[in-house]
Amino acid sequence: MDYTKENDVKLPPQLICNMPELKENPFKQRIAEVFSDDASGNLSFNDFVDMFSVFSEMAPRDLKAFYAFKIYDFNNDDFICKEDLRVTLNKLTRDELAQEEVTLVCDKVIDEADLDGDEKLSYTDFENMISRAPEFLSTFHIRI
Amino acid sequence: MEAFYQNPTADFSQWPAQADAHQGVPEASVHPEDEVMDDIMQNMPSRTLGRRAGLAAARHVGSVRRRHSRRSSSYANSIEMRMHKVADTAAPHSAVVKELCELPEAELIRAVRSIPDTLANKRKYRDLVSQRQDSRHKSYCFTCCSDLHWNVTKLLHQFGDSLHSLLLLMVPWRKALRHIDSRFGTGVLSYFLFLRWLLAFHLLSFLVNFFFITLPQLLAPPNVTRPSFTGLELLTGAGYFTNSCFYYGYYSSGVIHISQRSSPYNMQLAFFFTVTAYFIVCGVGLLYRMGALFRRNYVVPGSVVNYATKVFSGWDFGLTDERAVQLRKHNFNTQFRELLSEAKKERLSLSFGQRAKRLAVHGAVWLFVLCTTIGCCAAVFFISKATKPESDVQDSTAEAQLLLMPIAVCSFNVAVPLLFSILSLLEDYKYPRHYIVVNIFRNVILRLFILGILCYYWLHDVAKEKRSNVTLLEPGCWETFVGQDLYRLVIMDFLFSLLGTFFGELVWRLVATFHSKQGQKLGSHKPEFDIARNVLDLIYAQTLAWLGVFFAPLLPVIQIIKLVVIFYIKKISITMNCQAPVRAWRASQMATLFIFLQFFPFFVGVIAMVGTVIWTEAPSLSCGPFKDRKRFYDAVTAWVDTLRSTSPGAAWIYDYLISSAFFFFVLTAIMVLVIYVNYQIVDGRKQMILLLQEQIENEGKDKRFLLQKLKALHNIAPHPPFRREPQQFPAADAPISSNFLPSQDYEHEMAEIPPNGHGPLIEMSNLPPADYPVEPVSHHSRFGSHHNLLPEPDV
Repeated sequence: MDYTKENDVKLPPQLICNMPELKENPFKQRIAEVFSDDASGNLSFNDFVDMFSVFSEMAPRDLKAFYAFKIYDFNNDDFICKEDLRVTLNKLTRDELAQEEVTLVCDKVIDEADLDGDEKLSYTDFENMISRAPEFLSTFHIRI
Repeated sequence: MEAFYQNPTADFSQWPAQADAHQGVPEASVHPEDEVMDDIMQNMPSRTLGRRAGLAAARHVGSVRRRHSRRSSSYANSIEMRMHKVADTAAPHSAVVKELCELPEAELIRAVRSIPDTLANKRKYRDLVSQRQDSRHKSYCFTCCSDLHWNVTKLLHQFGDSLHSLLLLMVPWRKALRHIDSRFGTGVLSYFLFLRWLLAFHLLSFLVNFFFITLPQLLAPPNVTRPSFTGLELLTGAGYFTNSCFYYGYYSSGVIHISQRSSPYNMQLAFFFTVTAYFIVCGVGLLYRMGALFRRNYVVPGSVVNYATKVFSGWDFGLTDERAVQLRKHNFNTQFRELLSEAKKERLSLSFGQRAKRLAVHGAVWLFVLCTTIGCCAAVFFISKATKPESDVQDSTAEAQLLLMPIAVCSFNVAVPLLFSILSLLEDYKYPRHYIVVNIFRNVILRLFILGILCYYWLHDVAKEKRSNVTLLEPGCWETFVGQDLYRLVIMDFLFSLLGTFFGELVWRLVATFHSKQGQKLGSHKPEFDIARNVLDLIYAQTLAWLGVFFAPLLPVIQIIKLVVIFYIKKISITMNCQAPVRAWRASQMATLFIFLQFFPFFVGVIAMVGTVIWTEAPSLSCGPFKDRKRFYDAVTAWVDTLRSTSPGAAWIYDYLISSAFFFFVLTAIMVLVIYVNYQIVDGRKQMILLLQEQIENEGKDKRFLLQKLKALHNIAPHPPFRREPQQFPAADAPISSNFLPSQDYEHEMAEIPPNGHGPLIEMSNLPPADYPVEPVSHHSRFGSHHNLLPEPDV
């Protein structure tokens, strides 16, 4: 499997998710899906390079926000709705928070970040919220 | 990657926004009238933005350009119009290329980088743009000179880029920092990054001082006698080191001749200008970094988003160590619970008695802090006076006594902040963040006051007394004595930080391990790396080095060695002994705070001290480059006097611009005016932000209203008006959106269609319950085949 000669060589998501940089990441499967062509998680070499270039130090904030939005949007509908938030929270806290607490936190997130009042976060809402979170650039960063 | 262009929907949403179906806007239904509605909904500009990749890219580039050039809104409108025109063309990337062509060179790279597209496409954009620019340029240029100019500019840009990337590779310790980042996260990493950045200052100082001050003097060394070497000099800096090139007193005054044929080298001016230039470079560097951090991390006050920030930017993607990850997940629970309980606490307003009690406790603790600080300063002052060497005789006990003052200073710097932090546990703060910031301020006040009292002691006691004693070289040199004091402070600080690491981390962990053998969990008792205290230690050491630049030109060497050793010691200690920090450390905001602290009290204080010395103090009469002057500054005035005959222009600049108070008054007035105008602009923009937020909300309401009217016009039964009450909204509980399978809804609704053919009311209460089984069901439909993205179970 020489990837330099055959551009179509793709790695399955299981291999990607076993990489030391991604192994402990709760969103590893989602990351593989977002950066693959067909949302299946199979990454070609170009996709692989794209993935790490977005996570690198030099990537501008807009680019990172764009891909972060796609990662957190689990159902691919261009909006982060409450269900997406719930899944995110469960991944972050290893399912240790009670359901009411999860619901409460999701509600508060929507309250804080939703600008136009449609109960979910569009890309503009997300971008606006990220611009008020200076930690984003340093946490959305994988060092290789 | 060609597939990307032909199939722009491949990367983005395959389904239209079905989430809306059960979130308040009635949508998906089987009826043909609803197809029209759905088509309208699908084609709304805000929904299609994600789907048309080329448009997204063009919009990004356009918005980057708008942000950087601040053009008027009519330009924004023209971009929108252009986007819609290009929307249906076969090559959506031509819009992007058009936008990119109009950007200046420096912005081009940044704009291309921020396009949300694959790397291969970005390379294509860049090549297309450079081809176009080349062809445009070729058609315009007529002479070979401008052609040459164009090529040279391009080459220079490429050279600059490759130099920049080479510099990034040459930065030291990348592997070590990566290891720390993966185990401890960005908070602890920020300490090590700061250490590495400070190293740059010291390297610069060392290079500048060595090449301009020490090297010329070493090539023409003065004749001095030195006492023999005893081991004590390494600690005290006196004795054998006194007449070495390490201190100010070694350097000869006036003009030195390096060899017979070389031109004379004016040591006084070299000293003065080297120090001034170094401080200007430091000041500019600090201001630049402060500005960059401030611009990146500034949060508009009043718009703090706690929960959203924690959810979306709380997870550190760089953490790869398994234990650290488990710990972090556990910490997230704690933090969310804390946030929720804080929210509950806020709702209870405190009674007047409780508030008064809280204020009283704060006041008492602050009073105690100030009294302790003044007490420490007095102690340091009296110890310094008591241990000052009385006579000129070399006496090892007198020399060893000199170490008492640095030991006292360092012990105060270590013990008193611990006392302060224990006391502050008595106080009740609204947020835990305030606790950290207040402790940092108290620590800074203590260190500043101690340094201040030392500067006073040096200027008023040491300088005045030693100047009068002209018999022997060494004691008559107050600058050398100050340099030696600084050397002792630096060495003691180094020893104390090594001891602190040893006791604070290693011994603590050993004790914790010993206790844990009796059945307690080890992880919770391991020491944590106290980032704030360590960063403050670094800033304090930096201040000492800055103070020493004038009095001991080679002090940066000691500081470089110290920083390198501390880096490795801390790294080893952290890896062996500490656990990941429990509390989330807001690295960016803390970095801004620390750089502000470094600049404002410490750097400005150093400038004030060195400035006072140069302007008002009289130099020693028997040693150093300035020994024949009444003031240090007279060297410059004398030089300007000599310039008057040779270049009157320079003399004029000096007389009317640098040494005239009127010029600085005018400059200050202009700066105050500029600051005031900027402040008014910022105020205006804050108002505009509030207005725009209101407008967005109103637009959202308008949109929903219009959609309802549209439905009504299509003869669908009106739906109860939408109210924004999230807690009562039943759809929020239905996790349907995670797995959007309209076929399941169809089955449900098909059963309910009344025979008259009107569509059913999509009652929220008719929706399937929350734990509806979720299965992958492929279905034909106008929505196309899609992938099922189930929420991933935690591995």
